[in-house]
Amino acid sequence: MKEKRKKPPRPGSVLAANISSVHMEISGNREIIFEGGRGILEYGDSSIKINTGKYIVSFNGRGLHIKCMNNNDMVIHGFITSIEYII
Amino acid sequence: MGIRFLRWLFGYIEFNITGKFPERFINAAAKQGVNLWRLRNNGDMLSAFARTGEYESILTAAQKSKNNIHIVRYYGLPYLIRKYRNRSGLAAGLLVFILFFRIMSGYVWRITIDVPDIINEYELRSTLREYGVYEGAAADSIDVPLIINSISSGDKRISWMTLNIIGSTAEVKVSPNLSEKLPDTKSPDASNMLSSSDGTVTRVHVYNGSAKVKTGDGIHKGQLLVSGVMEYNNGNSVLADSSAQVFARTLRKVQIKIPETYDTLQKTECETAKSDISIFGIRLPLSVKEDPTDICSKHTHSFQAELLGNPLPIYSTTELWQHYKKTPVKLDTSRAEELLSNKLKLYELFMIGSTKSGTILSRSFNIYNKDGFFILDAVYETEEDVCVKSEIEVSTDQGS
Repeated sequence: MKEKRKKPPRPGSVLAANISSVHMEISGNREIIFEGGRGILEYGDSSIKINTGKYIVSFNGRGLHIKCMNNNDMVIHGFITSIEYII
Repeated sequence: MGIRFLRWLFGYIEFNITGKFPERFINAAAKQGVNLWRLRNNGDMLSAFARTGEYESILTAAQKSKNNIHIVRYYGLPYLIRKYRNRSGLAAGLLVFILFFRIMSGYVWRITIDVPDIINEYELRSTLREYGVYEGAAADSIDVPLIINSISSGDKRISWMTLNIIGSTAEVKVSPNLSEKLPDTKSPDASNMLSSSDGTVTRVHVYNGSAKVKTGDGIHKGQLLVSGVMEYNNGNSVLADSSAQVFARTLRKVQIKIPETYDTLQKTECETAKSDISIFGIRLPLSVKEDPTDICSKHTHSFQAELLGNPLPIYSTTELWQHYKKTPVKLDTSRAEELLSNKLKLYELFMIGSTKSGTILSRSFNIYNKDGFFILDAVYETEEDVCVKSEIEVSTDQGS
């Protein structure tokens, strides 16, 4: 029996957003809950770069630090001045 | 808060990561499933916190990432226990302290009483003590409904009472029975007026009822003066609550005696002071003296310790016993006459003047000494109201 191929979700749909690798929740410019990272590339108090697989997310600011983290998720705290996507 | 407590309960460490690429350690640790928190970059090193149980994983991650780990400090209960394991007295003290509080909280240590003026608080405390409510009584052993029923039904002055055991405090609130305080204004439906003594009637004032005596009549004690049975010309009669004043000239004989020698109590310089302290219901005497057996008056002063305005179950009681000695006194005639005449004046004031609306027409008295007593015999001729109300019992039973 021929197996039906599942259609990939259309870009821009809710499903596409949910299954994409990264989910961020930003509270003002003080705290970011980051889910779906694949590794930290740079960790400093003025810049934290996180690899997501498709691109790199760079958080810039002052007094940045990871409040807590586990395998995929982390909470970044500090005075965030910019968020940069490096593709 | 809960996470912080759990971390403290199981213990956690603060450590530094040094090496060329500390970020590699973070990634490796994350892959090992290690939860890190408070990661900080201190220039040449990273510092972080992790649970003690994950230390093996942290070491593995450090080896893989070619970084070095240096533990800065240990936190939490396991390390606290390890720190004080040689000081077993502290743990024992803590255990005793917890047990002490656990046990003591099962007892009543404070009794607050809210009583009206007509009931003495000390009296109520004594009654409560009889029923087992006192400082140091086990809260479980207090049968609240039984105590409330017994006290409120046993004392007519109490309308209702509440007893609440809240923690180590027993709150007692009493409401007075106001109906007991009010005077009995109920008057009998039917009554006669009888004579209280022998004499001759001088005036008759009848307000209700029918008079049975008139001015000039001689009367004897118990004689009917005014009848509550009122008869009408048509033959009918009704019962009434009689009201009248019948004044009569009476003779009163009084005898007052005082012994020729009697004992007086005089204070001595001897005083006995006893004090004790009561802590959590345990009474500790601070003196070994026994209670005096001779004639003494006792003055008790009690002090209750307080902490920040809250009374504590710690009492200090001081009893001061003042000793007295009996001193015989022999009266001479002039002193005896003075005392007897004073007693006679009191008798006139309270027995004749005020109570019976009477006036003294004449008096004669004689003082003499007989059998070791000074005796005063007085004879009064008075005019007084001799009426005494006597209720007429009316049976409601219907005869067959």
